Amino acid sequence: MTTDTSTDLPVLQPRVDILASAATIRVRADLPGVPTDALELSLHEGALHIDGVAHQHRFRRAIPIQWPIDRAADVDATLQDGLLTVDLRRADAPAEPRRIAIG
Amino acid sequence: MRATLRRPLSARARHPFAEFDQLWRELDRWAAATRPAPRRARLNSRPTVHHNPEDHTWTLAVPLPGVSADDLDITVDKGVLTVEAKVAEVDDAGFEAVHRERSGPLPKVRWTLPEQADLDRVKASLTDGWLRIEVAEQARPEPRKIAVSTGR
Repeated sequence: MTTDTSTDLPVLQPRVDILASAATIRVRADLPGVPTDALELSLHEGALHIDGVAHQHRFRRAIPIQWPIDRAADVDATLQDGLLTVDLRRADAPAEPRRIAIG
Repeated sequence: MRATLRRPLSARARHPFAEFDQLWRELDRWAAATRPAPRRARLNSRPTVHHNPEDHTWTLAVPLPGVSADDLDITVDKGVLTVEAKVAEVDDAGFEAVHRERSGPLPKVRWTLPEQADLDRVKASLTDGWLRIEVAEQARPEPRKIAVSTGR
């Protein structure tokens, strides 16, 4: 087991699920014991980076995202009861149909 | 014309097993490249129990990510503490699972409490998907002084 030298806590890898729809990539991660203010998320180098500190351990993991992600779109992330859900907008999502008004 | 496979004599004379050395180096490089990266430890999802002699309590801790207090049922019956929990349902309509690690069932908790446990002093808290149950030890009766008669 590795230990984080800055916090002296053992570093653990959270369990994750990855789901895909036509427009969204959803990542779920088990982060029991991590409050919202002790969680950092970032998206860079083609991966979603999770870093969360609980009272007796630290969760850290980079999850490679193999789909193109729309960086301009909002990222929807919620942490509820130690369960993280992150929704990333796919850059290759099919354009939503636009209704054209007839004047 | 016959092609020759012999290498220049000077090279062979310098190190007769140079080609084997080169081969071993290549094999080492290949082995290093294909060796899986060390995996980080995962959280132990089983409950753990600690006795705290200073404050005369036992503490059970178990991670229950995705479980809210409403979906948690803790009972004590005949000295056995049982925790039943269910994860709140999530709406993944339209999604297809690409990678799953979280599909395992929640840990089952059945804890045979120590004989000295005070069943009226059991406290439970669920914070950010982490359950802690604290059970106090029964207060020990004060030692009683027994008078001794002389028998006369």
